[in-house]
Amino acid sequence: MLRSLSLTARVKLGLAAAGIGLGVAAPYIFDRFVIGLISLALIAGLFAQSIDLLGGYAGLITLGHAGVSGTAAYGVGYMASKAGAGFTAQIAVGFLAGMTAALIFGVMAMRSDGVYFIMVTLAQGMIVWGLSIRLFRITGAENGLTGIPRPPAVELYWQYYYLTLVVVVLCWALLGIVVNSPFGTSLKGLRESETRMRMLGYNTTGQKLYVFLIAGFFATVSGILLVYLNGFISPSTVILAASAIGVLEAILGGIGTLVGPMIGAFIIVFVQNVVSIYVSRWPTLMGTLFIVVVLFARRGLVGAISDGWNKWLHRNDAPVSQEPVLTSSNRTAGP
Amino acid sequence: MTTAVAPILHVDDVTVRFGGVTAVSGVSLQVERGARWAVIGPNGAGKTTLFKTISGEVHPTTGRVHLFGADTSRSTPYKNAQSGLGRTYQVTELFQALTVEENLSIAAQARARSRFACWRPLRIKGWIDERITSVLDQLHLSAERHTVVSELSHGEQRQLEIALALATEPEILLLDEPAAGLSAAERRLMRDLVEGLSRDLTIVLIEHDMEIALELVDHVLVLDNGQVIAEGDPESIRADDRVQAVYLRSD
Amino acid sequence: MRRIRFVILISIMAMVAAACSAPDAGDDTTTTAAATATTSGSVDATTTTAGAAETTEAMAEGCDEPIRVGVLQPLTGGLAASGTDAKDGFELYWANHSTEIAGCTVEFRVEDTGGNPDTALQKVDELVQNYGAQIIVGELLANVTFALADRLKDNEDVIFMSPIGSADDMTQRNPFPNFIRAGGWTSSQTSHVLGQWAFDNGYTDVASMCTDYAFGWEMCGGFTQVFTEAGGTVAASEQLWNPLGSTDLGTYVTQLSGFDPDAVFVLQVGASVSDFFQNWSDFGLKEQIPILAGEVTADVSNIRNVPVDQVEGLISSGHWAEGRDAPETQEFVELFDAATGRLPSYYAAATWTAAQYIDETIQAMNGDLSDKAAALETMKGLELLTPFGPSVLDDYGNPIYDIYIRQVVVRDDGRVWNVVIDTYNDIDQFWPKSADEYLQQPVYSREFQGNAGG
Repeated sequence: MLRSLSLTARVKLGLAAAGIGLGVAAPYIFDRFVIGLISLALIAGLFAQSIDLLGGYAGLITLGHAGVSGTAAYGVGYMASKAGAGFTAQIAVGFLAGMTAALIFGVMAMRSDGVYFIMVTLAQGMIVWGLSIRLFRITGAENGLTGIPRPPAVELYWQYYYLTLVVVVLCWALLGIVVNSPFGTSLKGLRESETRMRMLGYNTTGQKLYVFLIAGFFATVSGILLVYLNGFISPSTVILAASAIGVLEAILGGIGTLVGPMIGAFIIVFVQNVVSIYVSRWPTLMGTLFIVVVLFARRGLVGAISDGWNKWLHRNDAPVSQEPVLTSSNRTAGP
Repeated sequence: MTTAVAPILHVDDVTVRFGGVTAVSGVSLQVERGARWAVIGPNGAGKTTLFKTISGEVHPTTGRVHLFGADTSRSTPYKNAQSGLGRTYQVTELFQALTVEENLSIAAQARARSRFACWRPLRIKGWIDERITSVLDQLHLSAERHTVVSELSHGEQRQLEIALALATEPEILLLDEPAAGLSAAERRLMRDLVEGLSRDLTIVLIEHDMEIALELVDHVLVLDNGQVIAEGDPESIRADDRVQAVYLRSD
Repeated sequence: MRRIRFVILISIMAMVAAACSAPDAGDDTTTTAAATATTSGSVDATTTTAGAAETTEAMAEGCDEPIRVGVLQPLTGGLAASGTDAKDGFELYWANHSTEIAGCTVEFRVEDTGGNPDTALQKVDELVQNYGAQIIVGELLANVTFALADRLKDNEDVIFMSPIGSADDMTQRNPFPNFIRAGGWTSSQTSHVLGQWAFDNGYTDVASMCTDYAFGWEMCGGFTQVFTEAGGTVAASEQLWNPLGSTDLGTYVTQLSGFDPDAVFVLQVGASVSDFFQNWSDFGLKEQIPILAGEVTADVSNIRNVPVDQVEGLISSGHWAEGRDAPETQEFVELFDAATGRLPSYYAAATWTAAQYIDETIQAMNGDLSDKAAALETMKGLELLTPFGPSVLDDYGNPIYDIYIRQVVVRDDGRVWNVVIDTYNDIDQFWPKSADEYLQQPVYSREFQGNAGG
């Protein structure tokens, strides 16, 4: 089985296995602080992946995605903190709130594309933020909502870490299925040419709503994971910067991939929380890193690594590989 | 209206205005199933606007468009495509970052329920594989099946334009200048490709190059300034003085 | 095949190594981190030595371990200037006081939150678990303070001091057991007094213009309730609420002048402050309608960015007055000015005072902070003379201060500051009501301003 795979596929499989192995072993290796950070990064990674499903795959860059995840988080927070409901009700309302937001946002945004899509989603994010600081009976205004305990079974930090790990890996797998499905392939078509998609018979408006709901689902999951991780929710979770950082993470790691946003999220979370302990000008560092990536690795870190890997793979057969390209091409001499 | 006798495409006195500009003015045509039509005329004559009106990208200001016997004047491109209309673009409009196969799989599934499936991987086998293979054969692109589109030559991209439209298995195909930007040799290849398409397929093509157009079709519509100035079989058009005048003026 | 295994092995090792390096680095740089954190800001190098460098010397006999304090402030982002003031105030205290107290060494580390609760929650875990902080001093923003208070509430080994974050309910309807506001204040505490002063000084009809978020509601509500219950009028229709962060306040200012009030209570923050004064001046209203400003709007950190003529004479109330003519205030002001070149904002005074409370508590407990409940009680029982003036804490852990009516005056060196023109002594957070009576009413919001006139 393993032998039938290409070297690249085997390396990917090895890295995935190593990643999961490390993820399972982490609480035995690291202290509570690092486990907390990894939990946060996993959640941020899932959020960035759901942004990338829209931006990287379907070409619909959103700047209001924290509005969806945040609404879900507020749903949980409200039920826990203000309504005093049980965990089932908290999570149910969280899902309902997140998916309702995704549905409303999707319907509002589905007729636009490009810059207009960015503007519409930006406005949506701002509306959620505006409501979060105004509706103090529901959101606690900018004081936020406190008193959101975790379910007893995952109360301890390492228990919650394992839950996060399982949920995020599961969502990652689901996202993997989605992007490789017939629908996922059609999303790439939407990104490349909406005009052509329409002319082929795709209802691109419906397609956008559909993908917005799928992305909204994963954003909702990330929002619910985040609110239980922090035990707290406030307008900071739904500000523009929260959405923008998700986009940044996807670009940094490599858009149009699923591993890219996760890597980007780990980098940014660790720069924000660990590097900032030692480097006071960490935002400058992050900005520089981002500029370097955009200038020299336009497909993000994952793109750069895969290019380097391919180069290394073909380092010996350079003259050989030239030949089949030439012969297999039936390219007629152009004018 | 009985579909048996209804033409596959009926453009009925269509006028399209953009603001103060009249792009198409009172154009009518009836295309029978299996027929091959050309719409020719100088640049700016309204050919592409007429195409857009037929495909649903533009709605007529006055007049009606009937496709497959149904009024599609206010319809949308995707609905027309779902009912069997295919269209190519004058300026290549492909999924550049994807492979030829991915392009065609998107097109092949466009009219299948499976286009909504997000819970299972895309499998290129069975009817999808057959259709892709057959379209690639037809357009001599089999060797490029796994090439990324942006790495194809311009000529190959023009061929893929048609391949994409064919992969949806349309009943009527609108070809917008299929030979645009091609060398003389490539034009001949393109002409042969179009010539060789199934005779069951109704074709309407726009071509700036009158010679190629006239060789391929049995009905010609000549537009100038949005108006029909001549209509008929290729021979009569070739002999028509007004057509000659228009083409001389534009060159 | 061998090559593949090699590659996989290397990859795994690289991942493990990369991930492991984080906690290792965290452990052995604890003390140097204090030094880097303190030198990172704009503070002169001389102020940093006392804070951290001395801690590497041999421990004093009273303690096995130094007493560690973690400070969390926004040192980057939109609030960096205020957060840096807060950091500088804290460091300045320890630069001028011995860190050897009752045989114990005080060590501290300042961490940047970026104003983001997610980051603050991670950093506080780091400070408590890895650094071993027994006291946390933080933050500036209400939401971050709430997040930290909630995270620390069950930790019996930590005291959480909030000298800046001023959301009313933290010491009123939503208190946390190990939370203390030594050096701090509640938002409405100072504007209650301004309401009384306004009525006492003959104003009867006042309009308001406050930022539309909880801090604005609390500041405005504090003024409105006391002023209207004293007999003044604030019509609900003449209470304007502008969005947070807005910098085009011209329309609001025009509306205010149309109400023709005796005075306007104004609470603006951040970039809106200079925009407000610019508009107020452009419309020629400065000479026509007096402004009564909420504390933060007239804080030196804000008015130093506004042209002098636009703010000269501005009336406000506050628990801080850098121009207060008293030695305990002026000593601090001069030290801070000398070290940073700035007149100290209330952020700086607050963290200095928090440090003073820590210092005095350690002395009173004779270096033994192991019983945090006892330490907390001791801190609550202290009666200190701080740069704010005399300070004692109420049962809820909120200070009882003298609250000042302040006026902006131009100093000889051309800079502006707030001098005291009237003082209300011993004002607690519920004044003029009793705690029981006050806590019957909901927290101030846009809907509840406590307006006696309806």
